[in-house]
Amino acid sequence: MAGVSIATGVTATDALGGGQGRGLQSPGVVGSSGADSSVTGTLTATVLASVIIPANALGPNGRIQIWHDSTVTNNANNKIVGVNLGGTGFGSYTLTASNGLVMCTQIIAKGATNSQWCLPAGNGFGATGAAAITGAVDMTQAQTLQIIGTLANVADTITLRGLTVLVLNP
Amino acid sequence: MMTIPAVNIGTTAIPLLAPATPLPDDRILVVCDGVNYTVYQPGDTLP
Repeated sequence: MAGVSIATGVTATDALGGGQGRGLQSPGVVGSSGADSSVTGTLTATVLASVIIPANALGPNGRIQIWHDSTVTNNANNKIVGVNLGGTGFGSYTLTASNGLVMCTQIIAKGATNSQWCLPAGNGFGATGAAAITGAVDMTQAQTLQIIGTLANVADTITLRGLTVLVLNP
Repeated sequence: MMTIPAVNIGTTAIPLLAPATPLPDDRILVVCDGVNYTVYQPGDTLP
């Protein structure tokens, strides 16, 4: 559950450096959780998890990797899983007739701490026809990264099953 | 099991629900129904 909350204003407790006598903690992991987090019964976009990216954690040539795994009600209705950083949407994935989503959303700093780029490929890797998303989030300040679930039918459910967020810098 | 109210941290036009207060670290399941976040902890019977 390290560093992961679904509340705002919670500071990540694990260091970016990793290791350092903390067993098998991995370098760069700012948050990780295997707790389930669901939304059902509402059509309003709902925060399923949030992770604070500490100020200056992402350098001008760094990368944020967000590994997230969700299951959904398997039917024809839309179920949307999205990623926001600092209020900017960095990709959303609409699921219909499927069991769920295993995803790696990657946000790349483009030579500055206030310039980001993301190509929301369908599964996080490989070819895509999706348009790139750019952002201007000030990463010299702490920013909240959120996984958001949105339903089109209140009878459906999206469940975030796991989340790991890494910040990788050269 | 405990419940924490869901509040709008978005805008009126584009609402976004989040819990009003931080959730306990030992949660094993959280379910938001649009009104509350219901938090299940070790020992609770899961839905």
